Amino acid sequence: MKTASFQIDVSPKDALRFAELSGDWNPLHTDPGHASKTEYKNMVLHGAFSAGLISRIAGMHIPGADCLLHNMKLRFIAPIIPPASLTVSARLVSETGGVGRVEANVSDRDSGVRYVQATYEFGHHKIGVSKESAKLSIPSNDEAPILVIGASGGVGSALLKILGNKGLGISRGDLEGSFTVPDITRIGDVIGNRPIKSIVHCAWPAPDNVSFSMLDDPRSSIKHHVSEPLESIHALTRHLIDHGTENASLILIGSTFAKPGRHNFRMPLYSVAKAMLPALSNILALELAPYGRRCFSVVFDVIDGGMNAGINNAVRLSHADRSPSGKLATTEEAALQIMWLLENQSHLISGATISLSGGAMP
Amino acid sequence: MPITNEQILKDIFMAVFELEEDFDVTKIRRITMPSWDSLALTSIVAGMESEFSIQFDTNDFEHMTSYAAIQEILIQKGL
Repeated sequence: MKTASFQIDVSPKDALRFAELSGDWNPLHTDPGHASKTEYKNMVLHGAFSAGLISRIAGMHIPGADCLLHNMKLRFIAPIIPPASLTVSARLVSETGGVGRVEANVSDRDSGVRYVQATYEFGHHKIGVSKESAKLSIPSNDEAPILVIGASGGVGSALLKILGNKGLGISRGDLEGSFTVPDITRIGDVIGNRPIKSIVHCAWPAPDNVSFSMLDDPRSSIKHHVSEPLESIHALTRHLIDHGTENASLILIGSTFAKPGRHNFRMPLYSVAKAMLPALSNILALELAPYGRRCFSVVFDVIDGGMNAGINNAVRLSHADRSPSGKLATTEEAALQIMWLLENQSHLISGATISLSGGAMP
Repeated sequence: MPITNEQILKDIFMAVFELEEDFDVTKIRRITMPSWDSLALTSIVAGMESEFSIQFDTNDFEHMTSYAAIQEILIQKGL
């Protein structure tokens, strides 16, 4: 199995530089006077400094450039008292399913005394994703395009590729071949008054991971996950009323957390936002009908790719195991299902929340 | 995963679900195995903790949804 190591000298000045960066001015690490009265007699290097050294060996050596660090566990065996000369070494223990596991040590270069024992797990981040997305094109024909909101990745990107010159990508950031619209409520300012055949909204924020009762800044978090997406959908509804062609649809793409009784307690705001979809589809179906427009939602279970691209293999398998087919949908499969629904011109679809979960168990 | 560990895991599944020797345990999924209930999972976990001298946390239980998923969890634990 692969191994790597590097050597580094650390001085008391490094401890002060780390304190400046982290804000950890604990006197054991920064005040020689205080440290002299402790059992260590001298300033002790921050334990988290060693975490930085492990990060270095992960990001620069094993696996290196495409490192996506999943977790890191450190055991502090002995204090590092600068000045000290250290050897940081690592050994790849296993790598399977895209997840690698590494054992690492921080030791004294001369005596070999071990200061820190560490393990970490890593995956690989994708390189060249934005180039792939950059193949998207702006429609050149006269046909009213289908707007794809959230075109920079996942289902939105896959849908836009299938639509080709019938689609018009809208992305929050720079994306070649698409319109950049940082604030969807100003979409009309950017794309003008051109007729729109339908709008597919895929632009949801990535899931949260903090308990609702433990949010540090609830106003900001709720705005990000719930209020802003709702405000965007409001703006898109208005845009469809003003510029949609006859029978045009607003299609809201979501997850099966939209289904009654479904939620994920680990991502409360994401769950709440998705739970709005059935009610929103019904409300907007009613409000859009007088204008000859429609609204419906399409919800998928866990999709392999997009915002789920970084999940580890055990989690991916457990999601696939919930499905009768034993497979997760790919972004391309999901996009093809949206294409199928885009062809549906019936008024009966308006107000619906269509679950395309493949029968996945909750 | 080393063959010995894989065989131990297969033996645990065979014992918990009382399977015949020619049954392909690698295909077992909770969703398609009617006898996979909470007691079965508890027995599998107890078997693995005893045989491999490891401990699982509640996050691991959530992802124990098939033979393949459990095997992946063990691999990620270095087995």
